[in-house]
Amino acid sequence: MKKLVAMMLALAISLSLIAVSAFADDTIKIVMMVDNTILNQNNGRDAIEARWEELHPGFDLEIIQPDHSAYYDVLQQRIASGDLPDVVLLSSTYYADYAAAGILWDMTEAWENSKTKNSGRFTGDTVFEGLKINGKLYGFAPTRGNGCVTYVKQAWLDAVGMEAPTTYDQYIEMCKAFVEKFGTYAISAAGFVGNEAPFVNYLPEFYQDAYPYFVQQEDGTWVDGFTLDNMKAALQRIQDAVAAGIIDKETLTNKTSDARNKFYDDKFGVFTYWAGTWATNLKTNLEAKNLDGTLVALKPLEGLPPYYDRVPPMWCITAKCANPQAVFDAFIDTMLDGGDTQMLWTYGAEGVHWSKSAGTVLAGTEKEATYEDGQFHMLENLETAGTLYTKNHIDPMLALATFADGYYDPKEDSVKPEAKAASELFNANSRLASIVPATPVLSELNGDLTMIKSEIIADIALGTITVEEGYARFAEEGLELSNEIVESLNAL
Amino acid sequence: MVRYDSTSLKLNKLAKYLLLVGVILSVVVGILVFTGSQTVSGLLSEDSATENYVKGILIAAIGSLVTWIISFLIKSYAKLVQDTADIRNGVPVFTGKTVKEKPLLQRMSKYWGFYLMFIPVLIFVLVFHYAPMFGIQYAFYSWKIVGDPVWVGFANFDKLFSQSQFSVSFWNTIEFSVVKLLLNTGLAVVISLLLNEMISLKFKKLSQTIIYLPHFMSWVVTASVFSLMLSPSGNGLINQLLIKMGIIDQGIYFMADKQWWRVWYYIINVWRETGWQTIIFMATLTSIDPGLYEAASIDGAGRWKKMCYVTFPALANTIITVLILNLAKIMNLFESVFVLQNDSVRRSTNVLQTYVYYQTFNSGASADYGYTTAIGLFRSLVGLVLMVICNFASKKVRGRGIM
Repeated sequence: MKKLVAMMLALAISLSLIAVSAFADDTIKIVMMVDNTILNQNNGRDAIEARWEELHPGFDLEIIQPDHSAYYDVLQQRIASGDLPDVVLLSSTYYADYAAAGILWDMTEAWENSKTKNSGRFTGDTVFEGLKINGKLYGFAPTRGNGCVTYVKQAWLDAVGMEAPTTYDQYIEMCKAFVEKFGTYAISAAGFVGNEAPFVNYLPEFYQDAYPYFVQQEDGTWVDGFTLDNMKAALQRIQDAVAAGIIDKETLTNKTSDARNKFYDDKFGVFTYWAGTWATNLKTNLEAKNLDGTLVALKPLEGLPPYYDRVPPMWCITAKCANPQAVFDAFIDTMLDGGDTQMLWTYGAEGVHWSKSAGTVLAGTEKEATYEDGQFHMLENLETAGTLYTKNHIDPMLALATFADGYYDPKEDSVKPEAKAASELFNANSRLASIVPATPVLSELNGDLTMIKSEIIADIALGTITVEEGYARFAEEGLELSNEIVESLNAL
Repeated sequence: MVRYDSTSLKLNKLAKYLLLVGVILSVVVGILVFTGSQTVSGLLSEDSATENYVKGILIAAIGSLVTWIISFLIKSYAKLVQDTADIRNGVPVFTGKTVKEKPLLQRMSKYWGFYLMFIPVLIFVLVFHYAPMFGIQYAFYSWKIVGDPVWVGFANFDKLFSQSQFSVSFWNTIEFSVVKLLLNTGLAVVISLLLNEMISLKFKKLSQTIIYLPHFMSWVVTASVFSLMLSPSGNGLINQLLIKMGIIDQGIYFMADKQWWRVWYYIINVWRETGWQTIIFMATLTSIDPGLYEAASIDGAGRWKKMCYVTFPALANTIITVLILNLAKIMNLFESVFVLQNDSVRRSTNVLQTYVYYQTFNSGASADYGYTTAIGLFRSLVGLVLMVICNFASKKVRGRGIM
């Protein structure tokens, strides 16, 4: 009996202490949900969380990171059960949808008054304008979405004695010369049209100003870009190029890995692919096959619009968040603070993901490197031995704000010159793909409409039907769906 | 003389009354909801009359079904109790033998380990197979996860049947599955017979191993291998062979051609699955009594005659069984089609599951899960009908059902 009483008393005291500490604690908890675009649990995520809390006293960060491929399933399950996190990372599709459904906090005013926007280091004003839906901002993107630039093999240019083209005519001449000289196609890609925005980024020279999705015109009205004359002209250009052997007709069935492998196997010389790190990857893979890895990244051809920048993933505060302004100030407005927090989101935690202490990395391997004290270097990957970390969440080449004056920016030392050059060329010559607001009609009909458009584009490209026949088919099978969606968009 | 166990009798009565009461109650509640009675419909929701109309029918149907299942389970248990009582009382049961056996619970307790091991399986089945069934209600809603589901009654089904792409997908599902089933089974029988005739055991085993292997390749790898082989360029093995043989002048883009795609779809399926299917036929062939072959030889039968009059009849029952069992699964078609599709052939080769996939992930906005659930429900209903037909056919052919 005595034992029982003692146990009861101990329990009562413990519970009281817990209750008291809970009430006394004025820590603000932030529940954040993210996919694998930040380093995961096996890669020292706890160290990132601890460092963030150290930099932001008074806040308790809880990171929920489901399996990458199941991220949106898990998120939607939480939304369905009403268990929304405070902060979520969303792609453009879900961003538009959730904003329309009213479950995202309107951060327009908070952003206008934010330290980041008014820091003088922020370079993404045009990107943020593109993220607004009906003039309201519901998400924060620390980086650009990145996009594709056209690379031409220098060795192929040398072989035909030509310079990198600057006009469309020169571009076609170059391609024809490649076909003649090498007896193969000049261009290959993964699909004649993409299956997500910005659909046309693998063949920008042929699509030019045409866009097969819904676009908002200058007067604010929406139209289906597929129905415009510039799309008909673009499809004719693609058909002609395939017929002339300039574009690989297997573009239809190529996956991105197929297109890359053909490029590495020297099957073609002109490849529109991702800017930034991929410039280095393409170069090293060509060199691994004993080929000249020098690539010329083309500026958009004269008279052609800039490359498309993909809509970046955005950090959004949900309407369920109890203290959105505080969360905005602590979590979002510090992500690009130009100092320690930006360093944390860009490169990870010191001592776990990067270091400035003297030491050797990848000891005993071909990539072994020794660094002196004070020299910035990334550390070995905890999950994949033999490789180094490259970044955490923010790609340093795509960041929308520089580090503050006097704060060491490791980018200069860690990014390869060709990647930096391609990235800078892209950043200077790109525009953000537009976000199409979600409507119930769009959600209901666009699946079918997209299949019709993709089929028509493929059939025209392969020459099995003419452009006119393609549009006759569209008028019969797709125009009604297209008109209904346009109507719903214009009714917003 | 059969002595009826009182517990069994009580249980049977209970099942009978439960079924009667359950059905009546379900119908009454259904009618109340149907007529929009404030008492009952108020409990459910305050939605429109249409919603009450559909809900009324659903409540009556589902209520009756659930009561019937419970009643069936009670009756089954009553039969078990009766059988146990019969055994106890020395009445011949099942085998005709009189066996003194312990009561059911005692016997169960003897094998408690097996029952314990079965519990995780039972929980798994209940959680992942039965609990999700409640989700079928969303077929009658429009729901994009965000916000509350909106009752739309049969609107999703209206849309479904008005979409040309749905009917194309439905008939493709039937066509691909049936042709695949007949081709695979037919060829598996032929290959099994050929393998059975092989004299060299080593060569037979080698052949079996070679034809089994493709089954273990994932569909993604299979698609990659065949897209290389079928390439219209100089790398495509098939096209190069045809050109070398003088059959064609230039490569055919098989996978971009709507007709050729189907032909190659069946060929790829046969290549991947036929070998694996021969296992069951080979097993049947090895169980044929050698005495039958000896008797046939004495009667002067050659190899061909023996195959026609001994081997094939012995296989017939297995062939029918395999066909019946596979027929019930024909609505489950996704991966093999999905990995081989491309923009040019997608609309003409969609099956129900790929159609659901594109509706969900290709809409440019969050999908309407109500609509995709309606497609899934329709697919399940067709599957259920096929199962019932197969069960009936199985009972006729094999003497026992598959359910």
